[in-house]
Amino acid sequence: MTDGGLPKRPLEGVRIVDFTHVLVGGYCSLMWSSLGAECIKIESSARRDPLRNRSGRAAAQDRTQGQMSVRRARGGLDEFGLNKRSITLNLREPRAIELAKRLVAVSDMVGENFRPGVLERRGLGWDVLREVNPGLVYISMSAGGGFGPDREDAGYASVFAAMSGFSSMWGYEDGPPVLFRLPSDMCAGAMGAFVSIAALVRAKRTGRGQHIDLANRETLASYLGDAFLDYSYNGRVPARRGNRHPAWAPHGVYPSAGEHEGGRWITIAVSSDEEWRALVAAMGAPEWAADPRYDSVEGRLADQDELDRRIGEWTADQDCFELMERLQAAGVAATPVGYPEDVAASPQLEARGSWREVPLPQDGGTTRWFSPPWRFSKTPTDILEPAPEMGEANHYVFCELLGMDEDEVEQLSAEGVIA
Amino acid sequence: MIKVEDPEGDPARAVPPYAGDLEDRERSLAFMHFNTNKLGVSLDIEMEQGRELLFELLAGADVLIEDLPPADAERLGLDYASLEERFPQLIVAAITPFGSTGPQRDYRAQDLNLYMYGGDGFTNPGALAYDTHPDREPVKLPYAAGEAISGTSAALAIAAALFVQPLVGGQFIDLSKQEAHVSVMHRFQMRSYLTGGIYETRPTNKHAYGDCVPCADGYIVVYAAQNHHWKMLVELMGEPEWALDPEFETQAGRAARGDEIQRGMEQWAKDIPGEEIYRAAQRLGAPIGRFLNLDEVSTSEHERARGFFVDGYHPIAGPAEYPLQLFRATEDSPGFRRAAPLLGEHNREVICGRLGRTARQLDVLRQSGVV
Repeated sequence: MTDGGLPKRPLEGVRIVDFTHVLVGGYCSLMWSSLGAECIKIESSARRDPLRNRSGRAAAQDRTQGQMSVRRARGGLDEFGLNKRSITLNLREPRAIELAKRLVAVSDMVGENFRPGVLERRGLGWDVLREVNPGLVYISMSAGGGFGPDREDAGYASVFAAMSGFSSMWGYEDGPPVLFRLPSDMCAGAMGAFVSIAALVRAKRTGRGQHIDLANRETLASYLGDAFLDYSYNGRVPARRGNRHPAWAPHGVYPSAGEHEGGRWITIAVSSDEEWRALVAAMGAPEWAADPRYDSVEGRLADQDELDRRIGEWTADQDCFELMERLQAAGVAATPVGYPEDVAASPQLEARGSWREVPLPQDGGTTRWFSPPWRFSKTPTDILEPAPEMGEANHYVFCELLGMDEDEVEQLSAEGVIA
Repeated sequence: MIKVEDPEGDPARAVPPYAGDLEDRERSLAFMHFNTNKLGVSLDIEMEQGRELLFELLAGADVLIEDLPPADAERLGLDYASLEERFPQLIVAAITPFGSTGPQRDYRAQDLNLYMYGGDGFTNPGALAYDTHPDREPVKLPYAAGEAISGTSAALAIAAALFVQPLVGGQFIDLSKQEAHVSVMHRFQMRSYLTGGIYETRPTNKHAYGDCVPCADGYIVVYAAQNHHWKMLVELMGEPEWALDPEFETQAGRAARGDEIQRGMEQWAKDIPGEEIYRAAQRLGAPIGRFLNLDEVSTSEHERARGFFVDGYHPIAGPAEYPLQLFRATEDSPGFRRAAPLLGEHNREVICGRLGRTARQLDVLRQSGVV
């Protein structure tokens, strides 16, 4: 609690020993730190979080430097480290393991996303830490989960997304599957944050902690639960649907005017007959739309190719932003396809205070980061601290929390334990 | 969890496919999946008596989750300003397309619109799906996944509000699905844009080689960017002559001739079943997998061993395996406790059992269309 008063943020007073790294874990613990938990990132100069290596500004010349991706995002820990603390512990050192345990004893949660078994082998598995702290919530996130025959699989985002079944469901009806890359990490990390915070609520009520084994594959599979039920109830292997909806039409992405290397597009989703009539009126009631078959959704679903062609002809020479305003005014769900510059300039996000100016330590200067996607009325969440330098909280954690004297900390640093 | 539906039923009940392919509001698989483990009451909150019953329920509740358009919530007295005084302990979570404030708060948007406007729709498809159809439009996330992503962001905020509720009481959570999409789906491209003014679009959303590669019976996914991954891949392919080119020993060398590598990989993979490639690759430690279809996931040894699919029973649709167990916990795992509610299934249990109405009063409410 701050000054013994009421908490100012939802997870204020919660201390988390954060062994997470890269994106699944990094996004999960960004949610914790955004919600006000004291998130202590465990790092080591012997084993840096790859996100640190990607800090700084995006570099277009990555292409010529031989990066696999044509354009690689930078920002790395500058963004994923917001609101976090950092200490250094070399987990290859037994004395570092003992210090980690002492920290766990005065904390509420442990989070990690190593391959299954890594922390157990270091002596920091659930069976050990539950003895150290019976109220502990301990979440492990991995590509396929902590047990099962594929538990050791090498698990990059695109691989676990494909193995989850998610990617095979994504794409044009008549095309190959879509490769689901980096955002699949964020999906799994968000689920990890949800499940672990729910477990914290329970631990607070009962005094009992627990271990959670979360499989990234299964998070993604659960998002397609209705498709899995189609197999389960009907024995049917569901197919890709493109942009179409099983109960609504028209429902698609249509070309619009304007220059962009990815094209300019408007999305339209008509979910009722009333919305269809509004769309027809907005189009100026063309003759083709008066076809009585189109009065019912069954008729529209049966003739989607033709509908899409006609609507696409109408949208093609119009500006997608102006068209959104016109269609929204008429009561039709329509938005452009938004590129980063569109999102960055969104009047809605601006009005809701979505952006924060934050330092970019590696390059100097500042950048804008996106605030957490919720507004809490009593315990608002915000970006309050830039990402930590490695080990910036060593004094706070080892001296203030664990009561060690500075000489001892210095000695352990020199010996490569706190390092 | 008590789901409050309009007496006409949640529109999701009209979304096919249906269990047994029988069109029936109790058989929509979308409704059944997303409402498993909930109780259900049907209540017309447009009627004053309906709202009063809802308010009585709120008196005993920790959380109200609603997704009404903000103007409708205000009109019905379900906005936080109206609820706060009467229910100081209540957490009210409004999940709306653009949030409860701002110039676009009343705009309409479905899953498709929100993913494309807030998420990273401009990057998809990339790789093979783009290369085979470069003239097509961007393609949305499958099924209702975009909604589930926003729902997860809402769920984690609600859990955090519950955590602090004993100390601060209730509060309002304003969740914009657009913002959830920016946070989860768009974030990676956004930070590249904000720090360097660059980002990927459909033509560039791919690696120089790898990604999605056709094999004998489907597609494999290959990530072989780093040097040690490349070495594994070469070994996996049986060290073909072309792959031993010294220029391919560096990332830069491979990136410069990515198309050539891609063609070599396609030639190698085209006659081999995906499962064979995947197993051999993982033995070497190479991050290579398969694009599994849902039947393959459902029957996979891994998911069988983990118990991801749990036996469920629906009173009308019957038994089936539900994909529910997405984590295993030492104290509580999700599991299947009850099927999605039939429309109004728990009216008696809730309105009589919890709110103390008599059976006769419930009949009157039914006759007047409130319930």
